[in-house]
Amino acid sequence: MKVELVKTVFLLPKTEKQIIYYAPWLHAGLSCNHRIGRRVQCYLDTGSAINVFPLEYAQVFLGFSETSIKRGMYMPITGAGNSKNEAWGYKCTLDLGDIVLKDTLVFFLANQPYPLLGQAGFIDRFKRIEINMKDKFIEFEQ
Amino acid sequence: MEINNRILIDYRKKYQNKWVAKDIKTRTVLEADQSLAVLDKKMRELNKDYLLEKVLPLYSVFIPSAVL
Repeated sequence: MKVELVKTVFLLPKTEKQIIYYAPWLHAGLSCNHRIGRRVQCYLDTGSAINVFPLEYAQVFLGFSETSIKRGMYMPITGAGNSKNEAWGYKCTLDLGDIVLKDTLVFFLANQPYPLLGQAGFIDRFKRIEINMKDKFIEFEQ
Repeated sequence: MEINNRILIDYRKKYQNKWVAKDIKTRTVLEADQSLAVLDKKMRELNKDYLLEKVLPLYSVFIPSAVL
């Protein structure tokens, strides 16, 4: 599976200087709890140990509530700056279109702005992941 | 073809911090809202399949694990 890197621009607040980079965004749909979620743009985050989806996604598409989500696997999370949070994990199916990953562990976290695809349950499901910055694509081999 | 920087900046300015529903084929924006539940309700009323995207703020750098 080959996916184009996405050109992204942000601005420095005082100078309006443009910073441009090419980001590894992938579209994936998540099925869990006998429900199928919408395909959503996910960030491939090699620095994340796990897959993390916003709790909001689980509530809107997967039939979980703030209470019922807590029946999942509890996981304390430490982020940058030693920030602490807690997430709950479920075995889900991740549908990337060309590739479908079954029984993969996804954690749901409040205030997570968008999904992250991390090491356990995503990156470790592939034999090779190559980021080609010259031609601006990312390639996955299973 | 590369997208012009100005188009990307205008898109981020207009939709920053919102969930955006995009047409699956054309990738044009169909609806946007800060609440995913509200956006999905709007889209169910339109009875249209869509791709979801969360638009990041224009004036800040994103480090995924720093948002916790």
